Amino acid sequence: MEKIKVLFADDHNLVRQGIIGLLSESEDIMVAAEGECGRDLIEKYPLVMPDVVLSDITMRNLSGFDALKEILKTYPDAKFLFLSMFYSEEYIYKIYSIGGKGLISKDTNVNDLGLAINTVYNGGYYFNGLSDEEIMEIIGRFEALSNRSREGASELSPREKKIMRHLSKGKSSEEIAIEIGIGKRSVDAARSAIMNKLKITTSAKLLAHAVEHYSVD
Amino acid sequence: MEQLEQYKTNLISLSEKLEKQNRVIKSSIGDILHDEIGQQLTILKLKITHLEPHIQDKILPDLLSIQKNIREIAHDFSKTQVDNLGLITSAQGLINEAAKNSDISGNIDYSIDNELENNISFQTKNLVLNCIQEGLNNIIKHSRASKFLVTLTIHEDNIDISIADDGIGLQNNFDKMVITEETGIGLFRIRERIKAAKGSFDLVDSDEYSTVLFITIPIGELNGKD
Repeated sequence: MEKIKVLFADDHNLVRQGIIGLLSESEDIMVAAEGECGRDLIEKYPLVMPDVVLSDITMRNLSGFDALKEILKTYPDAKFLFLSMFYSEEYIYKIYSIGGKGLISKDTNVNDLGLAINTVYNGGYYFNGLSDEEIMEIIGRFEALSNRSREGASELSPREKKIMRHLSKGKSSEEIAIEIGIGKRSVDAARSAIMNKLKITTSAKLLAHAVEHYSVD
Repeated sequence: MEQLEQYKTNLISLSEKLEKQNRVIKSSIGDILHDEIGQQLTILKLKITHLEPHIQDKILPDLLSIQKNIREIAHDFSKTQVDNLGLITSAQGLINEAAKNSDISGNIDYSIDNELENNISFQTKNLVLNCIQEGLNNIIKHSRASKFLVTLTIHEDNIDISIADDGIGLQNNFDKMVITEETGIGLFRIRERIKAAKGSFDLVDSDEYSTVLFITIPIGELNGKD
């Protein structure tokens, strides 16, 4: 049986040697190459063509996340399992959203590490032993934070529409504030809220949108 | 054999703990270097500019070089979670925690250009997250709200943060700048930090929420573009 080929990077020498030592006892996994930063991963990936990349997150030069993003551009099937001391829910969400396959704590043992590598190798997700349902629950919860499903979440409020009409006439925040009788900072806050609702990233685009959709004449 | 494996696992675990501790210490050194020594150097530089030009010429180049070194070390030492996760996921993490630990439903709206985010220093990102954290603490502890919304907007020169809730409001006490049950001390501490970063911190009107904290932090100020 051919062993699962792993490319492994961690910038902490002692940890790297320890993990390689643990994996050397495994019957179905071999560390084909190692590195100490994300750049090493990018450099060695095409040479090794590993089945699974096992990587630390925080590393000098280039992080594991940045290496993953870079490698996925050329090798969209790359399977990344992260090994880290961070394993809170936002890490699970982050790894999932950038195309990673798993996360395992560095306080691991050979059995769990073997299971994690095997799971990822076979096309699954492995996040510190959580079930698929638990993983999806976390992902769903994070996605819901940003995609408000309630009706009208992206609709402008009456005051925001009023501000857009004033903006379309080229008025400044100060002028609008006087015009509608609220503080300038309230106008600034409303402008930010409008940009968020409409997913507009610059003031110039906001103005263009106001002119196009809210010009009264 | 089993014992050997146990030793290896323990060794990894111990060295990780050491590394984690290292990061915590480095990060606080980074913050002290930036927030205190960095600021003192800036003040010193201002004072020097009032001296005779020929004296200035003797001192200023050295001072600028020290300032540059301090800034680089501070940044190098301050690599933590926000560098790994980015501003949005870090903020989502805070909101997720806050919503989970209370019965309040929370959301985040953001419009962020990735390129603009890359230009923001670690210190600024950290301040943004601390603002959100304190705002949320306040909502959970004092607001009796049923929902909150955090918005994050990155402009070219500044970041806008708004933290809104539909709770009982903190207008009166906040205006009087009295630290009370409703306002808490955390927000005041944050306000001082925002002031130091030359940002602004206000309660603003909204037709959708009863309380909206609106914070603006300039991007250049903490990035050392001086």
